[in-house]
Amino acid sequence: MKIAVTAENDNGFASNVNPHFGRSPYFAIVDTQTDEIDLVKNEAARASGGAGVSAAQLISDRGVEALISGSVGPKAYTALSRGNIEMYIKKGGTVKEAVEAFEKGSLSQLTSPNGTPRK
Amino acid sequence: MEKITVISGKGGTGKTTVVSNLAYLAQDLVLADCDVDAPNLHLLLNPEVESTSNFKSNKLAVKDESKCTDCGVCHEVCRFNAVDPVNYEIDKYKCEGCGVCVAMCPEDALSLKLLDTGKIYNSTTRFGPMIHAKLKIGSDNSGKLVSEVREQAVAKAENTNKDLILIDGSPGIGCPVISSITGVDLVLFVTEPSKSGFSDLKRVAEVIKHFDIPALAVINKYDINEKISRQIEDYLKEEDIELVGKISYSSDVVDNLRNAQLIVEQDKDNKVSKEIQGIWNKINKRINKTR
Amino acid sequence: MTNLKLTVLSGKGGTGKTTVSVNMALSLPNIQLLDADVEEPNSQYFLHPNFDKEENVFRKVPEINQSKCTACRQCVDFCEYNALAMMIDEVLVFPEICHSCGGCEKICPVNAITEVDRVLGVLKHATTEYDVDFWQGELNIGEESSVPVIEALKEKTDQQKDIIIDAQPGTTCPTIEAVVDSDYGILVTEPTPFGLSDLKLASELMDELEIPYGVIINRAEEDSDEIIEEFCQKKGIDILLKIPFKREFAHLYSDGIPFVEDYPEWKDKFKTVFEQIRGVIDGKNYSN
Repeated sequence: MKIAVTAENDNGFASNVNPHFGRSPYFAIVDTQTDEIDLVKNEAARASGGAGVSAAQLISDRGVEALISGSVGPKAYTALSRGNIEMYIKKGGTVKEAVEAFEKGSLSQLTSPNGTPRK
Repeated sequence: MEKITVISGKGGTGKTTVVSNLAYLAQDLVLADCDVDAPNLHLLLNPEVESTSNFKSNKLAVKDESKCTDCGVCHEVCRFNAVDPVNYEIDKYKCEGCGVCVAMCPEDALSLKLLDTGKIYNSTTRFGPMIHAKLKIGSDNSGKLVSEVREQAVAKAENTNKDLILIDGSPGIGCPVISSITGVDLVLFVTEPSKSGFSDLKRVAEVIKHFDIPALAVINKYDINEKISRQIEDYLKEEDIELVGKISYSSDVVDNLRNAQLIVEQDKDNKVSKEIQGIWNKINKRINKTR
Repeated sequence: MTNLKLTVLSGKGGTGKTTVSVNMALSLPNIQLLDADVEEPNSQYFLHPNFDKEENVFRKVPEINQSKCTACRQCVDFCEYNALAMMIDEVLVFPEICHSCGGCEKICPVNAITEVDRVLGVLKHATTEYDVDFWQGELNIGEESSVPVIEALKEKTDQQKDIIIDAQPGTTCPTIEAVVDSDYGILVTEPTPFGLSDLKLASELMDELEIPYGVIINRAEEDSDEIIEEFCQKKGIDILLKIPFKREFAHLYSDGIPFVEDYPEWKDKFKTVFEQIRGVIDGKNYSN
């Protein structure tokens, strides 16, 4: 399956996991079957608003089924949930470590958005 | 790396003065001025600009007059009253760059242009690097420029091996403030004991409440109204926000400010300097810095 | 004499905009005060209003008829604000970040989008104990744009009165909206490097908008006013009034008491400022 990990930099599996989703500079899109990795620049980060929504659209369009990140904002959370994209928490570390932890099943799932600002 | 944002809700409570004095006490850090509409931090810290970059974010509809037939469709569809009903010119302040007129124009005479929306400055101060910015007058402050300043501050901290970023946050309660605080380790409220100051504190605290970031507070000029100061203290207790200090009103602070000086540097024995030092000690303990 | 519309603004928050708006309103006979600082309307703490009217301010947001929707994605691709997303062939709407431009509704090839009202703020009215007619605008927390609330607030203008508008501090769109239709702007500043820096921004804005303006120095001190006076002199800007720093004024402010109540001689000073402004406007109109 295809999973996405938020990445701070463009360094393949050695990239650091980015703490946030919406404005994460890159996404590491990893095919867990073939171990292929694609570091995608996050164009959504340039948005004035709704970066999280745009980022969710971006990874959904790439057929991603699971996302690993430090945190996901409320709008992105809604969009990803409706896209049936599972969300897992990984704070710090590298993309490699995140993928390994995911495959081992040791990452906890996000059950509600972090940083719910309003309502 | 620790990130602290200082916010106030209301303007004029002393946010920038507090940030500057804390910078002196912290000594070796990265500073970020996220008040991109009316930046003030540079007035006290005297940064030397090393590089400037253009920030482009707002879009504006522009018309190719050679194609325009004055049909007026753009005026009809514009929700923002940005098209003059007589000469069909675009008002650059009212235009929100939504693209509806562009899509609806039967002659393809309109397009969206990305504008110079502001400038970002990468500078150095005697306490460390400083990232600051200036939004172009009349531009939409969406918080995006604030995000850029923050990102550059993080990158700078990594490149220069600094482990503290101190952010002078945006005033108000909207997107720029949210952009100032997302992902930081600590928020420091600087408030003043007035009815409007207290009200604005409550409003901004409500907005950022759900971000789950630990918060501390300082009551500046607390002796202007000790009754309201106490009300604020009670409120902070209820909200689980630790009061880390109260700063006395002093004309010495204003005098120092006028000369672009920091009271903690100029007059270490001053009551206010000791109060600010006490505040820094508490913050330092909180962020577990070993310096 | 035509009625005047004044906006009180400031490049920086905390210089004394509300102090000036409220105290001036209390010094004049036939005033309507509009609080357009809709993120944090503070005049109410000085006017002690008994609100007798409340009106919601609405804007339009899209609603998708999923059964008509063919998942063509044109609306998602069109939206400049990322307020729409398509997940598993369903179009999601994020009304908080929608700018109400109406584009998606127009662009949908199968008419699957309609627009519905969304409350973004509220206007409140009060007649106050001070005989000032008062309207306050409030933006709901979570809403991005103040401008529609300020536009709605301006529609409450009473043509029979002189109007004072308390604007949001700064020089962005909400401030522009509060001053753009006014006859004159009062720029409030303080005699510090912060005050000067932000006064320059506000002055630049007013020059761009081509609206006449003057300056009031708040927290003035004889030794320090120079920093502002020099700038104003160079640019030929009138300094209308200086309100001195007085600890007593600061204390009254903190308790929500307009200082003209305790210092009624200041009402005459505000009256004089108003007449001076009227002179400028009438002079301008006459020469046109």
